[in-house]
Amino acid sequence: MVAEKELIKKIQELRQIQPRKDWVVLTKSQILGREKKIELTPFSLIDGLRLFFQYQYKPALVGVLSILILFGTFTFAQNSLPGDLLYPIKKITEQTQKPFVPEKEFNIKIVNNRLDDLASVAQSNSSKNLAPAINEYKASVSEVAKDLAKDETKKNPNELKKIVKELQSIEKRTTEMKSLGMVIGENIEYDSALVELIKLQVQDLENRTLTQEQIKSIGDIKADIEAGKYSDALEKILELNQSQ
Amino acid sequence: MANQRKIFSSIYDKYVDKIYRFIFIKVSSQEIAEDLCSETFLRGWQAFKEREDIENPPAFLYQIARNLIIDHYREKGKAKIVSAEYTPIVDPREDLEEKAVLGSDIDNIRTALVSLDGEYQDVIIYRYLDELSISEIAKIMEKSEGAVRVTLHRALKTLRDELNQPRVLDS
Repeated sequence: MVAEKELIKKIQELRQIQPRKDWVVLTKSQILGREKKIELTPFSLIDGLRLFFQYQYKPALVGVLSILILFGTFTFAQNSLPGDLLYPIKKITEQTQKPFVPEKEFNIKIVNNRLDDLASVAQSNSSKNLAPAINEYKASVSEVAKDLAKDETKKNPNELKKIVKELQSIEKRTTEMKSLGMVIGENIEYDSALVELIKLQVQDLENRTLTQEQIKSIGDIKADIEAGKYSDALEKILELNQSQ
Repeated sequence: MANQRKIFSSIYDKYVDKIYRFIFIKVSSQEIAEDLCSETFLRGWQAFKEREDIENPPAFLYQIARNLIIDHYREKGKAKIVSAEYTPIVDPREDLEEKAVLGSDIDNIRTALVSLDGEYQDVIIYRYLDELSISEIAKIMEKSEGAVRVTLHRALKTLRDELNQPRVLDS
């Protein structure tokens, strides 16, 4: 007979059964280290990104997407024309530059932008954009006319010279548009402001010592004003200013 | 996650020998015991990650191990076919002299133990090898403490009878 204590002692001898130490270590690292290894696989990276966007950082994703959409919209709007859905956004973008540029330069730049729009409309032969483009152009010209009507602009000959150069460019491009058959119409307010400006420049030139040829040019300028050829008149003024 | 890993790491260190032994005694193969034991801890870790509120980790691991052993025999069609008497213990120790001295006793007791009913085997292993308390065994076996004591008493008696039976020596 085997006594109970002796039996238990015999049973406890089975404690000598033990796993291999290296297997214990290896298995532990395989089980608990498996997580890290899986995290490094491309699939898990994609899963991680998906989880990143789906759960924890959803508000961040919304923010990033909103910025991307806004950025895309603003970029796309730069190619829009008057009458298009995104055109108001283009105008808003233009207005953001206003605080950083002198008002007169800004308004002249806007007129040039509207002339670009008109050129694009003429090029694409888009009849639906034509009327809005002309209206936008007229509105921008009116802003320039208001600037020209201001006293301080007239009193500063050096500033006037700069503006005359810009206006000459505008007038030239406007004439080109009209030559393409585009009926832009006249802006009385702008024209009168422009005439006044040209006359001021003529007066300024007449007060200087002029050659016979320059005196003749001033006569031509006056004739151009009478004929409504403001672009030609401005060009001659520029030439005279350069020769002075 | 790092904290979970740390906790499970200590559970692994504490129970790996016991779970391995528990499996080894029943399958009588080092290779299979290692496979089933690593699978036990892998499943345990996966479950532990999902729900930290595992009330009794050792009980949970023993349960997984038991299920894996059952699956193993079911799959291989080995249930009650493998005779423990002809399956030597693979002792990892390299000292051959030590193996020779201890091998015989260990082999005898293991052979007798695995010939018992599964429940008797378990209760003896839990109590005398793994030194679990009666209440712990009761939780693992889902029995009352009184029922565990009765089972343990009967298991010991059966084992003693088994060991006292005369054996036919291998030629």
